[in-house]
Amino acid sequence: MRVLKKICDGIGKVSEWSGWIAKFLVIVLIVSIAYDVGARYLFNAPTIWSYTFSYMLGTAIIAIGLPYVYYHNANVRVDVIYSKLRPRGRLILDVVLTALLFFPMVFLLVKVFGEDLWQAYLCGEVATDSIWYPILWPFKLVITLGLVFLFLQGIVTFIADLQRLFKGGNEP
Amino acid sequence: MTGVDPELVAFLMFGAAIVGILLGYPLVFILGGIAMFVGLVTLGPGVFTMFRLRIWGMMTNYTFLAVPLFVFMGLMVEKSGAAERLYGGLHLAFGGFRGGLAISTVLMGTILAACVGVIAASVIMIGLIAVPSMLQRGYSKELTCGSVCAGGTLGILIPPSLMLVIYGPMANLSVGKLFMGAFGPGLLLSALYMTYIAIRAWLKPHQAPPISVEERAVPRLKKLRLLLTGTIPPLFLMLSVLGAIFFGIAAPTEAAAIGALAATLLALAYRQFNWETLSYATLQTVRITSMALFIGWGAQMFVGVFLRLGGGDAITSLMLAAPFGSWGAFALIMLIIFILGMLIDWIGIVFIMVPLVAPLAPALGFDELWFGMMIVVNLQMSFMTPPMAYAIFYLKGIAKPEWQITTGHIIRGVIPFVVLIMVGLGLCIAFPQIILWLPHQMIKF
Repeated sequence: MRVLKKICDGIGKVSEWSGWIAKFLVIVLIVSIAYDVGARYLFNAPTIWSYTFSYMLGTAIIAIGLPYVYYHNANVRVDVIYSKLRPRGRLILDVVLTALLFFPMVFLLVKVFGEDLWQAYLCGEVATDSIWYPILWPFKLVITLGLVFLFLQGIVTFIADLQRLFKGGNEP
Repeated sequence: MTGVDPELVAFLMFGAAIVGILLGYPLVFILGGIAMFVGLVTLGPGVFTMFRLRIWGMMTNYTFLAVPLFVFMGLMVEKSGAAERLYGGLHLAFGGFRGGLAISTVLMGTILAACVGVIAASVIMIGLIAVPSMLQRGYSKELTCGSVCAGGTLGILIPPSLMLVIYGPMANLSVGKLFMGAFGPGLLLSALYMTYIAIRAWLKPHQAPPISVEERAVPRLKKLRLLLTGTIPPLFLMLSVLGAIFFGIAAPTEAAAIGALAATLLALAYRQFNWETLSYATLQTVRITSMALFIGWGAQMFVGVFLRLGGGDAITSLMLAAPFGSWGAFALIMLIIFILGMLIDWIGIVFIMVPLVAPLAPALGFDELWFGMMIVVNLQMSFMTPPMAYAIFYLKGIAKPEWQITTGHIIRGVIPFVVLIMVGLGLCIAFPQIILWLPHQMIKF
């Protein structure tokens, strides 16, 4: 059990760090787009990388943010009924629907994007929407990693919920 | 799956999603989980490729990048202290009139709306400043709460607005045009709110008394200076962002990046910029962006399966068969969105409903831009109609015990403003030019 707890704490830490990494990407995103606009109007020298680089950054912010948002339980819920349930009722609802919906969805997303990453790596796929032509697998690796850590954080939260459910603890 | 009508499956999946969402499990996993199951069972493993391509389409969409940028801009404005200065100037200028503080509140909401794109930021900012100020001077609790909720909600209508940034790509409309189209209805609602407050304060002076003479005894020059220093910086910020879009200098995403930088400069100028502010703004940006656009991924999966099963055609034929022709169909769509707005978060509504109903506009003979704006104005009510009403939640969330505000006060307070939004919708139907005039003046390039 102690090893398990250590692993769970470790994954929780990674989820917390993921928020910190994504934070810096926000600053890079603002500066890079503003730089492109400036380069185009002030120096008449538009960058070739801005378009592709920007959407990569934007998606990286979302993907890396996923475990962080899940860890902080910040996904939108319509909690009109949920907030009226007793803590035990909430735990049961979360556990059942996580098993039924969260795990299949995120597992299959990991599979779908993981296979796509593998293909991109094997054939050296490049992005063709600008004349920059960067290789795509590092970008797809970030997406897959975000989903993998979302899945792991899901397992950790699931175990914690189960423990609380069976110990009969009443904290929310 | 033979023998089962695929359209029936599509509608069952919709019903299951509504039930799941109302139970309170996170929206995105309900949508994605149901789509996975139904898709796999009815369409087979080929559905995975569709999911990947649809989500990839969202990931590589340049317009959606405006979401993190506008969120950051709003958070920076919130932390810059611009709201306090703005209210400081406005309340001295208008406080002497009956209802003047409530009018200042709506005006502050209107001006801040042009700097932020999310209502959380504006309701909280306005509430914290204006509620104590109004209650101290004997304003009725209902009017206080109503004006804060209504004024704060303008943030998601008056551009830049996150709702429009998401609406555009989902309906294949230009976000820049949507921004310009939202000005008319936004200012119209703001004017309706202020007129209503003025009339109510004139009829029932004890609900909204003018501030005392001693308090107003500020030299006229100082009053003017406070008003100007309070209003000019946010207006300048607004012009830098919207002007760039209007004159075709920058795409909305680029304008948003400029706005994010400008808001940072504003915070610097007000000496509120430090590591803590930046850390807060960036982390909240990650949180909101990841949460909102991940719902988009889930909705893409859901809508993909729904359309593949023929749900879209079923909706079209259902709407075209509505009584009273295209206006009957229009009324039905508006009613559905109004009811969904009571129950579900707006992000879910826009991501799911827009791909399904926006294609109906040309079929029914409506202007797409006008039709979209009617949906967006309609969704203004969703923030104030319980049980799922963000403006009420946020105001309740920041209410201090000494204010003695209950949810009942807030709900009674917002009812007149919801009615005013319906009046606004009626005016936009009678005079479509309110929406369409400004986008037609835009410089095309």
